[in-house]
Amino acid sequence: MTTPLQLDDIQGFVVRGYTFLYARYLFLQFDTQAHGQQWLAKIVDWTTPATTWTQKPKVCQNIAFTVDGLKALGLADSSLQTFSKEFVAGMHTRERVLGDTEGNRADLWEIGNPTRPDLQIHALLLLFGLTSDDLKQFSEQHAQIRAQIGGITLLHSIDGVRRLDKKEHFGYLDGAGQPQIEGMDARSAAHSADPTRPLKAGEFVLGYQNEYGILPSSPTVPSDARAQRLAAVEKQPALRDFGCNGTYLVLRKLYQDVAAFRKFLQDNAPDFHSESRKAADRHEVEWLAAKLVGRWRSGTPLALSPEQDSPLPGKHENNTFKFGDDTAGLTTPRGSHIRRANPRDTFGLPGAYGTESFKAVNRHRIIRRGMPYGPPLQSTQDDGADRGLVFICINANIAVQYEFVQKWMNDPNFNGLYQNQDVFAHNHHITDTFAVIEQPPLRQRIPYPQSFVKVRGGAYFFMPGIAALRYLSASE
Amino acid sequence: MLQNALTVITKIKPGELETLRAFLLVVGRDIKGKRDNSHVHFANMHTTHFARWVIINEYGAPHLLFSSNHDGSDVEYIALLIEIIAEALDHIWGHCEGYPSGMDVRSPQFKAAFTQYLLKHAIEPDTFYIGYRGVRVNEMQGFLKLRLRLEQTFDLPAVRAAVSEALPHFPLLSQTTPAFVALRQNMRSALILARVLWDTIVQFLYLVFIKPQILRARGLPRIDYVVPPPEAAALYKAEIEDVVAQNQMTVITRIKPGRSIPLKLVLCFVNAAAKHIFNEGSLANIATIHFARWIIIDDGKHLLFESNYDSTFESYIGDFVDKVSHGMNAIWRHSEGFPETTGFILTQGGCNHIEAFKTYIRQNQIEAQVFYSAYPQHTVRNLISALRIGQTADRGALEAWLSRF
Ligand code: HEM
Repeated sequence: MTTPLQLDDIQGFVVRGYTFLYARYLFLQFDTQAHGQQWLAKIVDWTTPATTWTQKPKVCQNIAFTVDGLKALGLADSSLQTFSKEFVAGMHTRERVLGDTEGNRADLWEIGNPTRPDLQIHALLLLFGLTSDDLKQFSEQHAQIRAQIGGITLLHSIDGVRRLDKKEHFGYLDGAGQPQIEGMDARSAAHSADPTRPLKAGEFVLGYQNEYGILPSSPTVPSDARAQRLAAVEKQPALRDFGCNGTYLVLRKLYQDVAAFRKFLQDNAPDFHSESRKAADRHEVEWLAAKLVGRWRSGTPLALSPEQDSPLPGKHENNTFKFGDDTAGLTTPRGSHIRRANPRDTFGLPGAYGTESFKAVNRHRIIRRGMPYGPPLQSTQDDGADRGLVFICINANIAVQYEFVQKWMNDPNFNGLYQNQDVFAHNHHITDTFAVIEQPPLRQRIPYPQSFVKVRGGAYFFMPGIAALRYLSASE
Repeated sequence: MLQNALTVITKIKPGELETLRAFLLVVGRDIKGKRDNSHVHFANMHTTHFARWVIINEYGAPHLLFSSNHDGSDVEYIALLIEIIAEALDHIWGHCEGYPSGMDVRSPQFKAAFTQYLLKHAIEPDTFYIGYRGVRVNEMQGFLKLRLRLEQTFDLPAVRAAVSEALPHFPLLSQTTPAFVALRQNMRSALILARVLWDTIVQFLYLVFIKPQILRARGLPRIDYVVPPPEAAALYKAEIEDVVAQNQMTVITRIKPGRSIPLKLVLCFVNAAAKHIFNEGSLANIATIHFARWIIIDDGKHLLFESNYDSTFESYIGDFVDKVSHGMNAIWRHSEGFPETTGFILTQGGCNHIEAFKTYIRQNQIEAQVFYSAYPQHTVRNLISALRIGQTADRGALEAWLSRF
């Protein structure tokens, strides 16, 4: 039987899409352990848990730490080694895995740059507000607390702004495809035969069963006096489960070159017009935009509405469609962003399509919690402003989930493709890579002149359960 | 069989390990022979799909492993090896015991002696898996070129226009399904299963009763290998991976006492299944393995696993666990240190503890100093799709049709 989720201990950000319009991401550094613990002790009570809201709060607060941050707060090396290897090594050491080469190199990053120890990130404080005023007030309150304590440096602050139409900078509806979590979703385990069912909570929260049928590995701390509120570890009385109800959070600041993307659409869309009479009836730019992502810019998936855009389907339908009757990718191209990020029933060989594919894919899902930053681009020319996506995702195992999907994005040979990288999310741009659109009478290949997205930094964080936050704030 | 696997393990002479390693590293870092590797040009050995040299050293007496996937017989392959890399042989196997040194490498006497030397130390795989059966390297490379040309042709606006224009005028032939298909399919499956079982039994009997005799007569290849400590997992240098579209994996694990016979049975079964069932580019729907082999070495003490796979270590392991965890568990649960398996026939758990499994592999994995791939840009699935073009487009027929037309 499935263990019910301990919602009062899990941070709300992990299992809930807050749908706030305003967010602020603060990257902090502690001068000393004492400063860090004092600060945490002051604000820990404001942390938003995952308990159901009777009324939407005006503000929310969540907290996560890098490995350096946990160390600064006094976790011993022996405890740090119990965290996942990728987390301990840090995002900046994963260049090869993530494809952060050339212009995306870590030593060029604004955030999390390993060559700038003065900018070493310890904590990520996420603040949200219903209105911009709510967020402003809450941020000021936080600034005062930091001023009182001293010894807490604000390294960077990024404002996330969700547009009223929920579109990100390239003009697409954001946040449509998302895994559901067992125990959080009305559809219960009774549907366990349905491959689009909610996933086991252990894919996103430590302490629960995952899609492999085991508990994800969870970091531990010595079972001393202050650790008594943490969960016990089976067969190991000397240890306490620090990770329980916590999870890993991946953050990447991704710059979007909107002018270049728009130009790419304009330059390449008319091609279709001349070829197929049917395509002439369509709005070519929108059609190309949809083929690259697998969803119309309105958010409606091609799989449900292949010929033209139509009103957004219900939340359930919009998440549970399949690609299986479109093996060749004639409707949703096999290399399109959403089919690459989540191939659903079409991963691997056609012989494995369906349930077997779902079984594999369901072990490599992420919950996306990012928000756009920077002003929308008004003109056709680039205005030099910094804009893009604060990409954030939640997963219980960075290597098997986020890094896995990132590699699918980079891989020109992914899932039987050939010279084909993801339109937005590929790093390590190789020469001779194309967007491939399968269509009769002949597939279309459009060479990518460059990548439209650049990595400006990022880090791997651990977002502890609330009891574990208290543990960190308590002095020995 | 058209494609074969050669696995040769030879003992390195005392004190010569470092010279050998240095030589191999020069070759390995410049496998295309563009800089300082002037001796070993695998691309000229047009029958090599994959090849590697691996020094087995850290945990026991130093040995050199050479393994290849090649077209044609082992003897033909060794002859080609002598012809193409003659100058390098002294620098490589010259550091190994038993090598016919001091001979003119171009002489027929050397050829005979060297061939005998390699064959003496060659071990047959217990399980050999082939991702694409019956294709020679040069054929495959031809198909890949054809595919590239076709892609480029289909990008030309004039061709695109012509195709759009002409295609609608072709008639559509209706597809009729012949009767008895279902029945025939069922009979076929039954037949295949029978062959798998038969092959398993025959190979098992051979491996348990006959092969050990042959090996003993020849002098058993022993490597006196010691199981690496768990910390070894952290030492593995992952940065030598992901240079081309494939990676190689060489893993040696210690077989638990008394388990080599049941393990042999499992390997025989996998071998027969690989031959008769999974012979179309997929090992139970893992379409990312070009070639793989499992060999019980050291008189039943160790299991050697080698594969040439697409994409990264993480995704390869992920694929294994997602799709064939039972098979992996059935094989590796006989090795020491493998994560504990559970369940009725002991094929659950095990590698499903994915972090522990990855650590286990890393811990027992050995770096290859030299790794050559004939298809550095292409995955198994790319190769198979190129193969389909090659197999359906017959030049003779096309030429005849075009000239007559
Ligand atoms: C600036 C860069 C990016 C842009 C503009 C972008 C845009 C989009 C859009 C428009 C969608 C479809 C709407 C939706 O489901 O929300 C989407 C879905 C998705 N993206 Fe991205 N994305 C970016 C980067 C990434 C990265 C780096 C990853 C992961 C490595 C990723 C993974 C996903 C996933 C998993 C989905 C949902 C697929 C599904 O379940 O159907 N994206 N993205």
